[in-house]
Amino acid sequence: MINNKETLMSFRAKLQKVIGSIQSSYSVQAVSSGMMMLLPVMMVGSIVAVLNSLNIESYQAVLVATGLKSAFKVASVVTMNVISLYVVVAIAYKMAELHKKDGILAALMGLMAFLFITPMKTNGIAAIDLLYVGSRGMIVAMLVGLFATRFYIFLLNRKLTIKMPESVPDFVSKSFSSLIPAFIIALVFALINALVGLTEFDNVHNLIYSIIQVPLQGLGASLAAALLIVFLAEFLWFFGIHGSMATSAILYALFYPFDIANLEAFQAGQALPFIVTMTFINAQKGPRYLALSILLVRCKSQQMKSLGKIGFIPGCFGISEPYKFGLPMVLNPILFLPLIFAGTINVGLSYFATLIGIIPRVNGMPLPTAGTPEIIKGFMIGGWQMAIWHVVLLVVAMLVYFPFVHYMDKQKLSIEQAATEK
Amino acid sequence: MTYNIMLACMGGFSTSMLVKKMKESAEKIGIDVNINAVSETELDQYDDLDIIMLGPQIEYIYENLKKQYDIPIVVIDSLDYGTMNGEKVLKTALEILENGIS
Repeated sequence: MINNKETLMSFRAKLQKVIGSIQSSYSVQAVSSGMMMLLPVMMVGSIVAVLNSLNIESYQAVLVATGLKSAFKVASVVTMNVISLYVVVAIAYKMAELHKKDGILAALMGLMAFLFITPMKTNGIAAIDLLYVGSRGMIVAMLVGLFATRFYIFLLNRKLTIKMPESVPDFVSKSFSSLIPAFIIALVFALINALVGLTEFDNVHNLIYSIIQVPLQGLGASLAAALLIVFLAEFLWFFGIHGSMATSAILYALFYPFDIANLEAFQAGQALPFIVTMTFINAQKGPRYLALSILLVRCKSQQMKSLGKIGFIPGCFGISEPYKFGLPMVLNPILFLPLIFAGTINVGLSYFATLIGIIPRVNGMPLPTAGTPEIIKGFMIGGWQMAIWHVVLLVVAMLVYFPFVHYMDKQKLSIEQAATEK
Repeated sequence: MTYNIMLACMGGFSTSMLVKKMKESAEKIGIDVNINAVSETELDQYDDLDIIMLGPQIEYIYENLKKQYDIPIVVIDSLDYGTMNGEKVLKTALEILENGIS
């Protein structure tokens, strides 16, 4: 048993090291923290999409009569339909900050590079096809944000700047320091654009879409991928590593574009294209910690009961740390199975429930992984059917946890009784 | 001098619960400290910190963080964290601030 514990601890240390080195990659950090920056913009887009789509006849008549309908349309165009522009700016900014360089300048360079490779019509008015700057362009935007910024920093470090005479004030020469890098970036991206234009793909967007995005989406949209990610996150939690944090870069890069695609379709009143999205993976794990709270406050052991009281309110908001470290669930073999299976079973059930049409596909509203009240969370991502579904998931999670919590309760109770008898 | 204690976790949610408990306990023993909680990604926006305390769930960033700061960085004991034992965590922080990491 002691030996076992030691093996677990040394495995944990190795895991910490691996995750630590992945997380220390600037690209990984720039993607996850950059995409997190977009939350406010996406909230504007999605709240408006929901307000716009409430299917009440008199309400819709008021929207049209007051002109709000067209205002709402503008709100979704300037948020979701051009999301890729925000993506490239945010990621380039974060990437530069991580390298301790000026973020705004890098963001401008990134945006310029992105626009250089984005097809545009320029007869009379400059027009960009929204197809390229909406959800479909997000992966291109992430790649350009990372690559253009790395390139920009490389050029800055080469000191390819115009030497100013001594008498020129510092702030003037500083503004010139980005001049040569800017021209080189413009040249390189214009060249890439021209070269890809000669191929059958016609533009960089189509190229990346066909060789990266389509295969990834085929892979990503599947149930297996969703289950694997949930399993991985919960498995990491068993070793005390914040699993959803450690997997967030994968989620943002591969699954977040599906949310935006759903949101675009939702806004346009079309059928939602994807079942498995980032929100699906995060939210359909279900209210596991609310379930655990309900079980714990009914425990007989004082220790379990009092922890249930500490963790109840956080549990209502999907915050699990009191249980993860207090029960604990981390490195606790008794709770290993329910920890792994409560979330995966719920995601699996939700997938099939969506497939046969009991619940709608998630509307793509971006929710932070913690902090939204359970059940209400369900309502926000899929209306009243989803709220009811989350009550079902709550019951499922309680059933999964019950035997294990019951066993632990009995164990602790007998220890507590033995202690008082002494 | 008033110490600046910063706690960090993923979203700053669970650490902010602990901060509340720590503040209560600081008030009880009558000492004046600044205690705040923040998301790990926003840590670099704060200067003048005296100690950074990490939630055990993000222990994996400890090594990277240690390279960036020359102030004490500690991972909060997981049981103290789970049971939201503000008194004990505050005590740990003050001990390190006064005596250095043992």
